Amino acid sequence: MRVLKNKILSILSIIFGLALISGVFGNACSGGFNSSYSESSLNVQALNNGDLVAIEGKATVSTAYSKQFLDNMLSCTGVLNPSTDTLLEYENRKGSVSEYGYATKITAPMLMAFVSIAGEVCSDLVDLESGSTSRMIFKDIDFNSESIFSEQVSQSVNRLARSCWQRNETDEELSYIINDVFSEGSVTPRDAAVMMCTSMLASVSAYEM
Amino acid sequence: MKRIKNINKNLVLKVIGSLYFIVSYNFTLSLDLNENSSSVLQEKVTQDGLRAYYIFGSTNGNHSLSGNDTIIPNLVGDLGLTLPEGSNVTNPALLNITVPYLHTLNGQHDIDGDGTNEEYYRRSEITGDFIKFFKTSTQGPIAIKSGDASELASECSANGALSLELWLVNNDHRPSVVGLSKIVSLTRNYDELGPDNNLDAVGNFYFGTRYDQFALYEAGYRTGADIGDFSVKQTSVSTDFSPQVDEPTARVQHVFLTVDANRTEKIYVSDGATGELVRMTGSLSSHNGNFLNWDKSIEMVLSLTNEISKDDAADTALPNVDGATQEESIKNKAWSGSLYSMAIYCGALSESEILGPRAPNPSAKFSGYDGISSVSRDTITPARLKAARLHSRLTGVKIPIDHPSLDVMETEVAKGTALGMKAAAQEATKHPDFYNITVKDFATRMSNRDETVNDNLNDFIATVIGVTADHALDVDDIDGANPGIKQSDARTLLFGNFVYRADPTKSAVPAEPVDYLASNRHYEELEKKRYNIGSSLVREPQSVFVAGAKQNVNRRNAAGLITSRAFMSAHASAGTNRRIVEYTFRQFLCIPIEKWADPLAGDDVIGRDVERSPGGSHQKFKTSCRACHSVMDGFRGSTAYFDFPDPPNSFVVITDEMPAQAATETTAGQNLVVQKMNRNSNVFPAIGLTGDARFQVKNDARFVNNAIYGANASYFKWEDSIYPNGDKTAGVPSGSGIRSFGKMVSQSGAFAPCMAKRVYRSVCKREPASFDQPMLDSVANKFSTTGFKLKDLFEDIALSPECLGRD
Repeated sequence: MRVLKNKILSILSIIFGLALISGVFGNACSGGFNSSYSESSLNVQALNNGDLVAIEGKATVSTAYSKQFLDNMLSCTGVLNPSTDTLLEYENRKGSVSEYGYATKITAPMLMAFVSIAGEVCSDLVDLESGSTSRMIFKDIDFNSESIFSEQVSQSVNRLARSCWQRNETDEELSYIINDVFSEGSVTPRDAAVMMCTSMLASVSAYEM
Repeated sequence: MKRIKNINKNLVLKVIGSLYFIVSYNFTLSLDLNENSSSVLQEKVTQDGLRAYYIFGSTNGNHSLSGNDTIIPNLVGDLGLTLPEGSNVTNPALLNITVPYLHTLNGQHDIDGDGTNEEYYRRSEITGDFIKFFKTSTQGPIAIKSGDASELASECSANGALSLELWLVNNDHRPSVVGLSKIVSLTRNYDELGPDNNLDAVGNFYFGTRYDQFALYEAGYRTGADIGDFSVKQTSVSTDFSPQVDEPTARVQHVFLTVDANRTEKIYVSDGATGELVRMTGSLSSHNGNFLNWDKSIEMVLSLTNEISKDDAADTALPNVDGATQEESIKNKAWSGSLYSMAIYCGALSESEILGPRAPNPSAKFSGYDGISSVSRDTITPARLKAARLHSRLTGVKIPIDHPSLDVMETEVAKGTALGMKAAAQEATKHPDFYNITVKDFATRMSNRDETVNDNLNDFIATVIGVTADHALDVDDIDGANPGIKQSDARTLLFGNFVYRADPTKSAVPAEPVDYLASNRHYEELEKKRYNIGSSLVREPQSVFVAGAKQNVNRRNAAGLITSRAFMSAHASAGTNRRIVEYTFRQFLCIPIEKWADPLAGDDVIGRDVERSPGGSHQKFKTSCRACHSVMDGFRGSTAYFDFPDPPNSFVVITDEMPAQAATETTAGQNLVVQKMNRNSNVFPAIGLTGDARFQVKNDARFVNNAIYGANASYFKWEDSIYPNGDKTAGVPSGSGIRSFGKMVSQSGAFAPCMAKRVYRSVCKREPASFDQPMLDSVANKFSTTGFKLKDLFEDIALSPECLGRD
């Protein structure tokens, strides 16, 4: 994986932190991040749904599954042409990705796969945008600079949240991400962008469907 | 780890959004093809800042063009060319230089009749005059000398990339001994240097062709002070893009060369059969070309049909690599053919820009979306959230909440009406991932034995996607028994004589019969290259693999998905073909074997390979074996001619269509019935106690429907039309052949609810619960009464409160 290996723990901590903030894990529901519309499903039905219980009148929450998981990341980031590295990473990790998308079946290997694949997609995204004048996500970041400021990251967080979470980030989430990105002091713009992006793409809000 | 900045990507981005430069373009110019002509280079600056140099021409040498002039008149109709979308082909040719080939190796031509061979002359069909083509003369070479050519040299050198597009008829059929025939060259202007200048004939760039066992297009660019290091050539043995020796053709070819800043060269030539551009494969020699070394110090000449050499008498005696003098050498580099149009970009065009929608990874997924222009923490309305959820349900992916598609959907959702919601769903199903992901998910689970979504695209899946995408296809399916059924009707998936393959005009994937009839490469490449599947398919009759070629099957042996390669490979391999029946019911009617097993159905149809007293207990047979086999074996006869052998023969065998396979797969006297239908026939040879001799040894494709009794009547809900004369009391429904079987299955009332249930799983992300049943019944009823259109079924289920939520 090309993603900053020494940052994996930090990224995982962000992901778990975001999960705790939103209260998503444990009940297979959306709504922790979202508005009142995207609520969860809980009841005693559906033995064939991987222990998921459906609530009448509620939209079922699932995770992106199988290759849809990669396609979802590419779609929301606008990376049309994933690199060979990204496709290879998916091939290597797809055995850990859910086949059916049951929200009750998120496992630790699956989370690691999410981080790995998200890292590659984010590297593609940074490559794409660092060479482009028409930026989507990292509009305010100068990748040729030696440093980056939290304001630049926070603006990108919002753009990525609206793109892949389909909502605005909360202040708490933003604070969590910013603190972790800058937890080790100085960081290059590219590292900051990849880390921030990876943590957001690998978080539940990005792949809950 | 940081990834090294990819210059290619930057360049691709730079040119994304620019269209083919041959699309309509407003300009005015005058053309006079002689030495003193004014500039014939026309420059266009694209919206992305990439400059394109156009070379325009006409047949009268002095033609003014204006308005939306474009290239190549009437060639689309006359020669079968396909121009990129948006091209205007109604106006005269911009450049039409026809250069007859006058020289042989020995140059024995006395054109003007003065007793001297004019080895250095040829006739210009533009002026009608003979012109001396490698030196300047009053009649003028076919060359372009202007400041623009120098500017072009500077810009291409600075950008480190170049693309060249030509429309031409190649009439050059000399053997390679004379070297390359140069179609376009960018060289120094030796007229400016003067005859005594000692500079060699250095060129920055050339593109040409030669014949060397296979036809070759060849290009080179300068590598420094030395000449002769040009070295990129590509050929193709599968595409006839140049005439054979002494067999000139008059076919117009569309040729592309692109060289990027990493010095990766690609040559595309239009295919002789389809007219579509195909990337050439073959030898690509090593090279060290460097655009930075291009000569920019003196005035450059862009010459057509040959290169420019200096007018130095002393040089004529210099030996050349082919043993000819300098002049002879250059003379022999003259290209023969017709050149209609040319354009040069000082940048590398992407494959998408060259191949259009046929290119891998077409940008349609995000077309028109420029991203989020500014930071916005605007509140997202409930209607927009609902639209986003509906979009995700139908496409399987998220798009940015600020995506323009959601603007349309939000407006419709906000109306709060059923029509508004339907319009919103229809907007979502325009997204290519509706087909790439959601419909594929729906079909994939039915296409393989494991019922998993983790499978590659295949003919089964592609055919489901094709029928879904062709929802507006209002043409009657060709079927005498059901003349009112349209091609968009999902029931035809069970008995129609069609399959969907990659449209060769929209995709570049392996497309030989062996690629789709004897392997799955055709479909796997389509998916691997990330084409938008829904818009890349074409409908074809079903066919079988005979002697390496395809042969269309008789309609009686075509049953839509049931006879697809994927379904047959899953269920007709080995075994006794019973699995075909079991999985047909399981996949298309959602009735598993344990449900339709009927211990009371007749047993006279049960195969001779089934033990009647397993373990010595006939009772066990009656209570267990018979239940499944009476129904399954009744239908099994329909598959009597089908098999899917083990590798290397990985193709569907239909014995009454394929004599070579019939010789090894059938037994004499059994009327081409595959051997496995009568396998182990001595296990219970005393069959036929009822007196019906038909089922003693299977020797035809007749079948009976034993799934009409007891509980099966309510499971299958057969239409009356399956019975003789539509009369339920007239006897057991029967038929002959797999198509008849597929049609009977399509006449089950379980088909529509089964499709609804499967769609629900793919769209709503879980198996339906009992409280979802009324909704499923309702949409299934609508599905069956409105033409069985799958796209509508997906939309209707996604819109249901059971799927989208009630709040």
